[in-house]
Amino acid sequence: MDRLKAMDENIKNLRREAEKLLQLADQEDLEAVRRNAKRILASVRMLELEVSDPLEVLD
Amino acid sequence: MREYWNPVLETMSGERLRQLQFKKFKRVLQWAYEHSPFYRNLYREAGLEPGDIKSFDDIRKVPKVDKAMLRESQLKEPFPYGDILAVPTEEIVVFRQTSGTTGLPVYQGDTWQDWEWWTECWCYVLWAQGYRPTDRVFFPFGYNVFVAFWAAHYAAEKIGCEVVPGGVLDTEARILKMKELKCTAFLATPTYVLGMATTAREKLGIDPKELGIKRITCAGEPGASIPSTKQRMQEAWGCPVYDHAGATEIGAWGFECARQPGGLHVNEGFFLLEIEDPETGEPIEEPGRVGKMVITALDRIGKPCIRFDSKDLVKWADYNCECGRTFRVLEGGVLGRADDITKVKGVLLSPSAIEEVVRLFPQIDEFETVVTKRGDVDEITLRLEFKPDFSGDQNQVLERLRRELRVKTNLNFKIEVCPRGTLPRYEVKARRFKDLREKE
Repeated sequence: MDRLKAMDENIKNLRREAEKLLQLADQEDLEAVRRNAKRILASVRMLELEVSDPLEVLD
Repeated sequence: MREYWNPVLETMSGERLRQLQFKKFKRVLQWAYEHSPFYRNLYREAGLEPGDIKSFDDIRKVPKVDKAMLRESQLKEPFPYGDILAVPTEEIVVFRQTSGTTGLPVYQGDTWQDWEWWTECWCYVLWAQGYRPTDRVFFPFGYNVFVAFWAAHYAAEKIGCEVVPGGVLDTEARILKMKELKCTAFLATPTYVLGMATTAREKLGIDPKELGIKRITCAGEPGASIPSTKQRMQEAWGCPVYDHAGATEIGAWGFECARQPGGLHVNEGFFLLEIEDPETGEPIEEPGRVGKMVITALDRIGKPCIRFDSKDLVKWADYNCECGRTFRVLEGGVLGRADDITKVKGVLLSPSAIEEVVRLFPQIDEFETVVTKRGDVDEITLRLEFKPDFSGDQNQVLERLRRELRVKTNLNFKIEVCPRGTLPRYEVKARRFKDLREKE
């Protein structure tokens, strides 16, 4: 359970960082970064489905 | 080797799974209500708001949707998906459509996240069936507008397999490519799995068993859950053949695991599957009772699929699979379709019952059933082709076949033997049941 919680923490950090990156890409109007950041966010979502969501009911 | 793709979900207790499903159901319902005009109107007309769903039982208050409703929504803006869409069209990156077997095709738009999700769902399927990074997987299907095995392709890549796309090659070239590369697995419809075996033997002089295929995954037709068809495929290729169930509008929701429990596990981490009585709509919780599947994709956002009335007939198994997964099993997989069941001579008939009998006869290669009307009387005819290497007594086989069909379906079949190669062959969804009564 502790390791799952640590994973969840990392996933939250990944989301935060990817969202920041997306925001910066929007401000700088950098399509290459924007699109890659969105792909990272989609992968982060899969991690949330696999770890963060189940953790909510296991806690 | 690890047994599960994600043991956190796959071995979670039933009680926790229900809690998770309920949380996710409320989330996707809220999302659809806020972002999809189709769902918002549907719920408003029913006097329902997402906040009204307070318990698991309340889920049944949520109106169902079916294919006809999806088609109707599709006629509205934005083109071509209609007002069911819950994201701006610029978020859609993948187009697929249904085959249109039962009417106009339904267009399916997926965001990149949804496409990742499709792939993730398929990872559960492939991993449970023993696919590992050491596999070299061949995909002998036409890569086109149908979802078919597209997401399976990406899932195989994701879990680390080496993926060989067999797109525009013909059947002979595909078999030779599998042989050349020593592929260890492939995915196809049951019809095509059997067709490939015939082509290998008859046109290339290759015994499919010698190709070294270790596992085959089927989708698109129920054959891999029909014991006689499954056995035939397994004997032809000398390896286990696994079933998978999914649909364009829903996702990859069910899979047979490597233990072959006589049915399909429902991926209950990602889907909520309800079974209801086809006549009364009452929920069916008990094992063994056949009902209609109503399913929700709990994490699909671009074009949400909430309480979709799939018309598939299924039943819960009364056993747990020894693989240790807590995802419940549907005994016998998808047993048929509620709208496929037709009355012939006043008897209810499911086309899969015919296949179940015919596949018990290894002497028979291809077949189709035709229902016609002579005056006021229905007539049901089974047309078949014998295998070219069958030199036994045809009449004896036909007599046994007629008897078995009678026992299984309560119908007397007229049987016609057709010359070799005259019945249609199929690569994707086979159409072996033809009801010609209305056209006459």
